[in-house]
Amino acid sequence: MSEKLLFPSDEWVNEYCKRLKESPDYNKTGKGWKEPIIFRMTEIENLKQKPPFDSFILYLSDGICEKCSIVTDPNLGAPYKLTATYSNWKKIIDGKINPTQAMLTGQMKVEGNVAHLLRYASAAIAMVKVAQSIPTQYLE
Amino acid sequence: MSIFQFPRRIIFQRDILEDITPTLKDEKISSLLIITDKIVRGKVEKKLLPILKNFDVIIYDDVNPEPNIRQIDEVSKSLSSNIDAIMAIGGGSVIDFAKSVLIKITYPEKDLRDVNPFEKLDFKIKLIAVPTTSGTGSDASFGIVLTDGDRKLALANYNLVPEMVILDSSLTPDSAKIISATGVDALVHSFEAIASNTSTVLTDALAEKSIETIFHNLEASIKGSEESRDMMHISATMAGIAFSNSGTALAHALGHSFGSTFHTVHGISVGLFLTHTIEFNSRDEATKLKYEKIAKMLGFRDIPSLIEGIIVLYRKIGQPVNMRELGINERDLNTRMEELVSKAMMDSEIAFNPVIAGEEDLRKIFMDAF
Repeated sequence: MSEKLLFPSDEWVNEYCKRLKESPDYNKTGKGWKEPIIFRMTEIENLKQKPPFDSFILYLSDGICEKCSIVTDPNLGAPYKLTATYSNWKKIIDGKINPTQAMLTGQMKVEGNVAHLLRYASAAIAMVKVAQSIPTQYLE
Repeated sequence: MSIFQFPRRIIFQRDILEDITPTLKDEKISSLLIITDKIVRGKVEKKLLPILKNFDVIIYDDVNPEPNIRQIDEVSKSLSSNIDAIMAIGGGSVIDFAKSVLIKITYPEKDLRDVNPFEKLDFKIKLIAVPTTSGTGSDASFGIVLTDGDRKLALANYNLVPEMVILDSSLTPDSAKIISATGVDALVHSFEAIASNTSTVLTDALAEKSIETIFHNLEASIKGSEESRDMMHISATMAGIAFSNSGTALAHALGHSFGSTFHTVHGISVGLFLTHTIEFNSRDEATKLKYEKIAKMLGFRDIPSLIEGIIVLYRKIGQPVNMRELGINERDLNTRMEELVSKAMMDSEIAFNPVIAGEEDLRKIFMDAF
């Protein structure tokens, strides 16, 4: 794929889910994980271009992404929610911040059972590597 | 961006424990809970109690290796939070026990299993670590290793880094077995701090120097050299600061799993996997370059000769190089293999490994270490 996909967009989220499904690293490290995760972006109001949505959800199960969708209902819950500013999501996807460190510094907020999440920290690293593999174009 | 967390004060001097009262007064400490074990208590009590006669002191000495959560929960109920400081005098188990007691007397309702690096714990009581072995690094680290049933739990929180560390190498043991196992633990901490995917130039600097110092002093330390024991003591703390600010990695995930399954000593367990993880992690280019740098620093040609050099060191100091030397047979290993793999996959240290490892990779390393 040479064309860059806009982050966030339907295309980007679908491509992410597809690549997670095909990633040997995620397949092996995400084994045992069953819970959906919501990814939420904040501080989007200062962007020149408005993003089409601020949250999406991945339905992850045993090392694959079963499906994904845009979150339109602000009341939709999930066992895990990861929240960061748009600018920090960009840094994470670009590999400028390690996701573990982003959590440690509070740049990424985690809601959910943290002790359980920590047991799958290598799956989080694998997920970021997959996100980094997508040619991505960002909003200004 | 990185976060670095260090003990606020480190005092490094042989026999300094005998002259500790000015430091305690300087820190406005007048009441102390000393946590130790029976062996160390026997060693330090005569020296320590007379000089602490003007302090309110409570001693708890029933700490056993690999402390378990249930005991800590029980003991903490009977300990008062009305103290200025907890002084942990002992090896890694004692210091980890003291960190856990600090949590439980501050937050009695907290389940220790839920301790994590993403929350702020606000302690009013100062934690002073006096390590009596040269290896665990717990005196300078944000980690706790506890036993929960048949599983080892590696927990962490930045507020658990001790406020003060007193490095008095006169307290370290003469036993070759203990010096060897704890020294190997410090060596593995250093190698893993360098390999960790959150390593930085600062942690690399500390870890490289501790590898060099340990390599040159571990054997002499076993033979009784006072100077080498001093060097091992400070190196273990340097390695502790390094891994606490970067992370340990695959050898620790494998070692925790192996140790809790076959009940082997921590240093021996993690040491068993060091050379195998160096080989495994060398497929990552950046990590390979770091290992090559260390190889050259130690006078080795390349990574295979570094691995050979580590094995030669192990032979000299009595560290087992494979599971057979620990009396484990192939049938035992195969019977427990899935348990070993599952525990290692669930160990939080695996996340810091520079190469993502899956179940098949772990099975192979366990087999290779046989």
